[in-house]
Amino acid sequence: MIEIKNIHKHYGKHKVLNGVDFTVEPGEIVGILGANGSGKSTLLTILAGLQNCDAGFFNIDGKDLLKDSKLRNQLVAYVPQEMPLITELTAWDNLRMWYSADSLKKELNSGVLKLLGIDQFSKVPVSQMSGGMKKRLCIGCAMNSNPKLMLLDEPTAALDLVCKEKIYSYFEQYKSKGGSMIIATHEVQEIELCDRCYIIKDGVLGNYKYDGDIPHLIGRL
Amino acid sequence: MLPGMICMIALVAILLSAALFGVLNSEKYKSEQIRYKLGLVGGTENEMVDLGVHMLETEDDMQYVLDLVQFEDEDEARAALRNADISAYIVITKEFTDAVDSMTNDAKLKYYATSGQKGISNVMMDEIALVATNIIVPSEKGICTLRDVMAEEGYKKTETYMAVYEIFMAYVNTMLLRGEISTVTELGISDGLNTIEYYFISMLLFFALLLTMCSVSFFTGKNNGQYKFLAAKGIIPVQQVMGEFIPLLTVNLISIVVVLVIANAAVKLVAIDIEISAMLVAGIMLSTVMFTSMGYFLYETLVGVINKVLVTFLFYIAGAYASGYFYPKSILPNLLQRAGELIPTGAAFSYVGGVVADRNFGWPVIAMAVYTVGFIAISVLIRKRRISW
Repeated sequence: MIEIKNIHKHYGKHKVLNGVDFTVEPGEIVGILGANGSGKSTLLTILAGLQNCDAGFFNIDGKDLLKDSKLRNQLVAYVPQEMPLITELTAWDNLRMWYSADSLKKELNSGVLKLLGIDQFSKVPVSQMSGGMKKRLCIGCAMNSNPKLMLLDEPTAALDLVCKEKIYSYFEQYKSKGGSMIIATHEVQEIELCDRCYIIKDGVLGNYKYDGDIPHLIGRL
Repeated sequence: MLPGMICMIALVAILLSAALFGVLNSEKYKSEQIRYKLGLVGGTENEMVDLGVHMLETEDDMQYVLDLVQFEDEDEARAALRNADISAYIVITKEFTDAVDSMTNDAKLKYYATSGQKGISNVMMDEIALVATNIIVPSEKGICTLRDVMAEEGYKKTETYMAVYEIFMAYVNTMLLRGEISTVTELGISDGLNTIEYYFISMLLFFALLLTMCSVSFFTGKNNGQYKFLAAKGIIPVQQVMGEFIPLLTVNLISIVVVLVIANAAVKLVAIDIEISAMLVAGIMLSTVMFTSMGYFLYETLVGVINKVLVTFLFYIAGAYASGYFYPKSILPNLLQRAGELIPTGAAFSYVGGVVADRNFGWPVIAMAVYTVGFIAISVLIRKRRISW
């Protein structure tokens, strides 16, 4: 059980997050929607430990991850919106930063990296990869610690449908193994993938159920 | 990456060698090595004049600025003057030597000089006249007078010899004392460094400065996503910065060692009078550490490739000018000179210059350490801010 309780964050006089509360069950995908600058990415960076919040709790199975950074690094994987890869290196070299040689071979043969299809382009330099390949590689790098929770900031933005489908396929497999995800998104397909969605506005989280009515969604943002 | 770095190091080495060669062949450097050559015509048959010339060559301060060249006759000396082999010549006439022997003071030396670029200065002429008229001539006259008076009074030759010897030794002591009045100090063109030392150091430091631009982009300037990703994996900003800075520093130190090895070979090849000592190498290496931290800081602070390259280059050029890398900073206003000393490039120059000129270099080392730590600390803060954006 993942609990996010009463998260507060302000920049100067501007309150970005004003008591954000929600839970994520194992094997559940939660979508965070909101306009640009509403605080979606800020919430994810706080949960990933990139910045401190003013107040709040973030627990997984009762363990406070805001205080235990080592455990957080192990249990939580964060995939930022920007590409975190070293473009001069190949997929293999990028992965080697996070996997031992043995575990990398194993994961490429039958593990998470195989599921992501990285085995098909492991020797390709990042500079020659498509956007979808890069995004899958990012996810592959993030998954090295076998995390319980994935934090994804607009994971399939600007990708074509084929690439999106490959990534969604992996998300489904991750979910089926009990993995949880929090996705900050604008994409309708990603919203459809989510089990639950929240809209963040004025620093407060509100429940939202997507029913295909996009004008209604836009009106809520 | 590697071929690019090797090419850059080779380019730096070639530029350094070319610059050293240029300095060695410059008129300024050559002229600094030249002492004034003064021709002497006649006078050698007179033992006292001969003694005076000998003392001038060996005991007097003038030995450091004058080379005395003996000529058989005036025509030969005049030809040498026309060919610029000598700067001037003095004719010691028979009248002069007779006047010395007869203890009169009515004969003068004849001095000939050109007014060209290599002509001897008025100050030098006055100095020669001073030595001749105030020390050599009266002293020698005193010795001759003693010898003649003792002969007239009927002293035995051995007694005369002993007395003349005694006063002669007093004369020699006087000349030696005159030589000890002042010590000759080579002031050089700036801060106790001669031309070759000055430009050797400034060029090495300038290339060390430029080297920091060569490979810094390989280690910095990644997108914020990478920094965020690393931070989410538990690699905190200080670890990220040091993880980039240490390999960058290693590359720069290896590069500067290669440049120093080539510079050492160039120095030996063209026989430049400078010693690349362990202290000098350490000085350049420490300067490279500070320059690397400065380059890293600038690349971490600035945004955009063109911006980074342009601003860093202009920053380096301005710093190098203000710190006197291209010309001695004495040409600058006093305030700017002081500022030029205090900035990182100036601290490095003061340190390495102090090592070569054997001066106290305590404060520049402290300043360099403070700058290095400061640049890295600010870089860490900037990285921290980027991650939280």
